[in-house]
Formats: sequence, structure tokens, C-alpha cells
Amino acid sequence: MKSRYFSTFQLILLALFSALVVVAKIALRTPLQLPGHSGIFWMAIIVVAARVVPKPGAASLVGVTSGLIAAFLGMGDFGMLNTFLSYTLLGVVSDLVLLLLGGNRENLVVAILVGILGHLGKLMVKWAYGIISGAPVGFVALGLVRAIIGYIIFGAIGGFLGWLTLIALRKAGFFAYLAEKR
Amino acid sequence: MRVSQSGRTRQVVLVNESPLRRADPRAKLFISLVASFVVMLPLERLAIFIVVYALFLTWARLLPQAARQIWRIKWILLILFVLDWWLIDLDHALLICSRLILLSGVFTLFFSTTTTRELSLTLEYLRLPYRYAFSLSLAFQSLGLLDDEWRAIREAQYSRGAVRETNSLRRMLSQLNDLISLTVPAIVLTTKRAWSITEAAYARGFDSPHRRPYYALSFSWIDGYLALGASLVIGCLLFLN
Repeated sequence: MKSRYFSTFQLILLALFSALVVVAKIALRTPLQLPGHSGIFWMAIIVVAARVVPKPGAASLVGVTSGLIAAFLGMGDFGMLNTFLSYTLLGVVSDLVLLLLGGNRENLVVAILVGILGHLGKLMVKWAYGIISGAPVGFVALGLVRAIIGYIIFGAIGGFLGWLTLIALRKAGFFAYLAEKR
Repeated sequence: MRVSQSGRTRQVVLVNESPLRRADPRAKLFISLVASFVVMLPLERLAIFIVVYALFLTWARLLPQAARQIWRIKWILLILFVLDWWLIDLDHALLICSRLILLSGVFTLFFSTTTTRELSLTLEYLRLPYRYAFSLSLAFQSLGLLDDEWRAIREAQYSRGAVRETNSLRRMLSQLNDLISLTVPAIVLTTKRAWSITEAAYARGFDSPHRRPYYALSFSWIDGYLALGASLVIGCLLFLN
């Protein structure tokens, strides 16, 4: 039988993680409505997904799939194309960061960096929208400053939460259980 | 397909009465992609395209859906328009707002008239391996189940006092450790479900080399006309002086 890059179980697991990202996005709601606050849960899920399926492309696949789901559900403020690209870039940047940093995916610093940079990747799409549409760069930059700070903070918290989740899962014997299922 | 959490509801809205509902998703995807390139055009041509596109959406009974997308960015459009007019000129303000309006509404055509099953068939046609298209379909189908599971986990942890409703960033940070009582069960239950689905898929012959799809897409002459019409309109706007 032909060997596959992702096993069927891994593919299905990543698909379900993608759906979980969207559900978490809808579920989390803080009265403060700070920009990027929902990144706490979805960056945590991305960090966990990249560890549970430790192959380059896993986070990107979660990003693309959750982007398509979010676009179909009409999420996001700038239309469906923006929604799809935002989620996709979030996954792709997370993968790139993991690829560059390599090594241990359960490392706290790696998890936080993935959280911050992956989350900022999503913001980059909004910035690109501003540039493509020709909006004054100063205005776009000013408007994004508050958002950037929010995205960095919540991305870092998301990465940290992902790391805490990985540690808890390891203690609970989750990875031993998973090793049997591959 | 419906997801409802914390008083917010999201669902896939399919416009069944639209004549484009029966059109081939490949043609609709092509039109949406080509139309999104129009943002590069100068103002006059962009305005012509927006009028043509609005007429097309009216015929397709999709104008309310597109308008809803654009309405969401009304404040951004207003601020941008005023600032651009004030700092640069009226033409620039109109150009930017037109581009943003087009980018916001252009994919309504595809997403409001295509089912998730049709999307995965389209992706298969575009040479995406069946396994990936299946996983995408599966993600859509699992939304409701995961939504229920997430709600159950949240309510269980709230009732145990493991996690409290947060109304400030500081309180959220102070109980960050407690948030793993939401993420860990969610991950474990999702993994368990993934394994059950994998077993069920194998039992039904998933990965079989002789698999044939139950549904098949058919590209009719109407789809050809639609794609050709869109290409002609956009080609004229792009290349004619």
C-alpha cells in the first residue's frame, strides 16, 4: 500500500481540530472585546495540533480547513476571502515558525513564539488588505497598533495555554494512548 | 449547519432560490476568483464592474447576502472615506471604498450558493486528493457535535467552579491555569471521536482504490456561458482602452 504523508487518523484528527478552532472562536467572548482575544483558545489548539501531529504542514492544514469553515459560516468583518486567508496564514506562519525553530514542540518558548507569530500572521492579512486597497499607510498602521498589541498578548497567552495543555496531556498519558492509535 | 455559543449563532446560509444554486461550483469559484482581481482597476472601470456585478447579484437573488457582508464594515468604510477625502482627494476615497466593498462581497456568490459537499467535489476536481476533500467535509459535518461537546465541557466546569465567567483581562490571566480544564477535555474527546471515525471509515472501505463518488459534478452549457460571460466582462475592463 502506498505510504501517505498524513495517516487517515491524523487527517481526521486535524479536520476535527479545525472545527474545534471555529467552535472555540465562536464560544469565547469577553466583555472587553479586545482585538484578537479569541486567539487564546485557537492558538492553544494550533500549538496542540502541531504537537499531536508532529509533521510540517499540520498547522497549515488546520488553518486552511478552519478558514474554509469560517468563510462558509460568514465569520469575519472583511468578507469571506479575508476570513479564509486570515486563518490560512495563521496556520502557515505557525508551521514556518515551527520549521525554523525545530526541536522540541513542547518547549515553552517555542509554544509562545508560535502563538505570537502565528496570531500576527492573521493580522498581516488585514494589513495587506489595507495596502492592496490603497488605504493611507499611516492610517492603517495607526489603526493596527492597538490590534498588534492585542494580537501579541493574546497570541502569547494562547501559546502558553497550548503548552500548559500539552504538559497536562502528557501527565495524563495522552501521548502514550495516541502512540497506539497511529 | 449551525453553531451557537455564548448567545452567538453562526450557520451556513444557503440561498436555495438563487438560480446560481444549480450552477456548477467550479464556474462559481472561477467567477469569484476572477472578479477579485478587478480591485486592481482604476476607479471608472471599477465602478462599471461594481454596477455590473450588483445587477448580476440582483438577478441571482444574492444582493441581500452581499449587502450584509458590506454592512459589517460600514464604520471602517465611513472613516476611511472621510479620512481619504480629507487627506488626499475624493477620487482616492471612492477608489478605496469601492475596492473594500468589492473584496468584502465578491465571494458571497460562491459561499451562499454552494454546499460543503459540492465544495469538496470541486476540490477533488482541482486535483486535491480525495482524503483531504473528505477531511474537509468531515470538519463541516462535525461542527454541531463539537459545538455540543464544547458547551457540555464549559457548563460542567462552570458548575464545578473550575472556571469562572471572565469579565476582565486581569481575571482571565489569573485563571489561565484553570482554562486547561476546558482545553484538555476538548482535545481528548476530539481525539477519541477522530479514532472512532477512522475505524468507521476503514470499515466502509475508505482508501479503497476503486472508490466512486456518490455525487458527481456536471458542467452544463449554462455554466460555460457564466464563466465565459464573466471572462469577457472582466477582460474588456482589463484590456480595452
